[in-house]
Amino acid sequence: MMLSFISQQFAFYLTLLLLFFLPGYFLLGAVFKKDSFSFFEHVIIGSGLSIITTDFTILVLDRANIPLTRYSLALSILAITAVAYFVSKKGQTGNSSFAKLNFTKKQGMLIIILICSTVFIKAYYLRNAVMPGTTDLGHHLYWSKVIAETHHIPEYTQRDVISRDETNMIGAPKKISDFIIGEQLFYSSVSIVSGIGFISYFPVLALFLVNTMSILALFILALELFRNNPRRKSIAILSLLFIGPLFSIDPPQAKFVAGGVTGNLIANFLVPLTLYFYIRFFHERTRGFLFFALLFSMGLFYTHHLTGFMFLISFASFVILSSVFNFKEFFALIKDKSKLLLSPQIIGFFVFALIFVAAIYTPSYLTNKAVTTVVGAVSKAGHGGLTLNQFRDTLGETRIVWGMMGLLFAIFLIRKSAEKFSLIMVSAWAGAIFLVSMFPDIVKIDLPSGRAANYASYPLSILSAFAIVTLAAKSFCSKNAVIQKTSSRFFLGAFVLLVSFIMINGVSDNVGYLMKDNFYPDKIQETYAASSYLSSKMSGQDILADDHIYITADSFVKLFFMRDYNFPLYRANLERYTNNVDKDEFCTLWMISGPETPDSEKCFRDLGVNFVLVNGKTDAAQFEKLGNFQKVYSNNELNAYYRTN
Amino acid sequence: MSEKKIIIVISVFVLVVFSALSWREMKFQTGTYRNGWWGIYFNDPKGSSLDFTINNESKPEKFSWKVTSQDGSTTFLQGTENVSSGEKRELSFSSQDIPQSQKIIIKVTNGSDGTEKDIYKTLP
Repeated sequence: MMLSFISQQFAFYLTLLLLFFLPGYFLLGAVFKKDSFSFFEHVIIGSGLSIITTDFTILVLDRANIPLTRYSLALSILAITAVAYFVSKKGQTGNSSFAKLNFTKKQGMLIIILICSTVFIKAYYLRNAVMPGTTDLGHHLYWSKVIAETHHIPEYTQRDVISRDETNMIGAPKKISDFIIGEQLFYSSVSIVSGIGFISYFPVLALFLVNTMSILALFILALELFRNNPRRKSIAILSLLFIGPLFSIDPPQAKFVAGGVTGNLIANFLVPLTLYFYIRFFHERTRGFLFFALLFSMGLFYTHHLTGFMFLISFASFVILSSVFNFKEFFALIKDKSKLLLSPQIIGFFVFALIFVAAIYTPSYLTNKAVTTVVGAVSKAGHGGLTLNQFRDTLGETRIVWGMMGLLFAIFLIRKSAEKFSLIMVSAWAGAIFLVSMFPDIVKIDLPSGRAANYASYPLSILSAFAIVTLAAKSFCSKNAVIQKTSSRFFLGAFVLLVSFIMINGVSDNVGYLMKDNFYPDKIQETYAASSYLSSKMSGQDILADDHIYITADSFVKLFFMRDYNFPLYRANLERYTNNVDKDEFCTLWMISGPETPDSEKCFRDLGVNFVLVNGKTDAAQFEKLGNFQKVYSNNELNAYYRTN
Repeated sequence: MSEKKIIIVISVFVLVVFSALSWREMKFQTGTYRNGWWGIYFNDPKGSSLDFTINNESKPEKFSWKVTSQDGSTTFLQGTENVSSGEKRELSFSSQDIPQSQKIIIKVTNGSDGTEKDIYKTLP
């Protein structure tokens, strides 16, 4: 067992290195001079670039009808890495080295402590969640497993139960837009190359890795945003505090990792890197930075449409605010950079993007016209905007207070500051999210308000850090000796109080989660066992109905059958049957809640359902009293029944 | 402090944490968590065979079983089994002595804590 574990671990880390670090690292070296980035930046950006490269490579292979196997994936990625390596070696001159980014010993220790404590807190929270069992993760892994088993990219479809003309039936496959290909390629590429199955530790750990990288991405973004600020390292390190160990479990952090909120997590890694390249393009006049900014933007839309949409809104806000606050300079800048914008490389990128979208792979939300469902007046519950209290609860008092203060400082300093575009960018980023999550009707965007608000933790962390460092700098650097001395004592005391408040606020939030144990690996294992039993005993003609409400990890049952995204048929949360939006059939409800009624008996007959899986504590009673249901399986949590007629 | 040192320290720490979580997940899959669980099932759920399996993923290993009529008044067969943790013990027996055309219940009791589970079929 130990030997098998070690070899599997070796395969896992080697696969992560191959797919999520190497290609991007060497591609960056092939395009830019070595001293364009520090080693830190090179590693972090290279990782994000690797995710995009791996995704696009797989899509091209599939389009060329090359089966997605371990050898085709690994050899393709190795080939890209090798070519990039040789190009980068050829391009290097003399003793080229990375740009210097040295930290003092104290700063270095602080960075290490902040990152390691973040990882430790999250790992402790995830200790019982590392066995996959959450709903979203089950849904994503189903499609990832389809890719791994069929060796091709699937069409996202599902078969629904339809009730029509007094007959119930399982309808024809219909397209769905809920999944974005980048979310599934993330898991399927690891499984295909490493050989590790989906029901294992790797999905949660891969997400955990991406989440950790997103924090480092924010760190390098903060360093670049304030590149001309003498206190940029302090701002960046303080940003790490706000996005790292404080509120490290609240969404979109460890809770999203456990929940398998895949697209959001990967996109939260790509967004800071995308903004990094845009701001570098503004700071320097290099086509390469614009090219990569556009490439990362494209990668975002192949990963998570919601984040891509939020990014578009933030970027549009940035353009509008730039023109408002720096009217003359902004348009002079545009005019100056327009030659770069119209350069062959940038035009070439747009041609490449168009061909890719049109001919290689079109994201499902474009083919299914899902975009039209998010633009317009708010129509769904939970999309109507948050109150200030809800916004505060989502993001934490500390980040709201200091983030808002940072926003005010930014607005106040914009006109005079040398880093005005950086301040505008981070303010626009925060402001757009604030607008969409609190006043969606103003911007006519119909998105889940709570989910939109979660995005604000990233820009607010930078703004909070900026506010504290700016305040401290103004106080300690007064030219008046008396003011300086008085300020020093006062602000030192205030700073200690502030840090205490910040730590108590953020850490108590973590403690609240860590004291509760919301994950049940034993119940998950029982669902796996029951599913494995049923899948081994049922034929292709047998139909299973189960329950989402009381079965732990029910979304994983379908991974044992791989028949359809909607197989087994399942009883959904009860409000979905009454909200007039989600469900227009009641068979899946009646068959579990009331199997004895004439309506449910008709459902069983019409749909051919002859196996049922339910929670033995909550839903056994209605089956035990029926003579035509035989109890064929029972464990601590679940019972399975076979219907004889 | 150089960036390389920072990256190396963080990478090593992440590797150790990930390995620990991986090991923990593997133990969940192959061992018992808290008190563990156990289950029983028919080997042929659709047919008339009463052969069944005890799947033990808990620490206690002593189980007793009996095959009874629907009301429990008649016990047709019974026995005790030692099923190791992680084992699936299949039990086969002839149903010649069991009357047909009635509901037959198989009841299994955990010898340690007395918890019971049952499965049942109506024989043709």
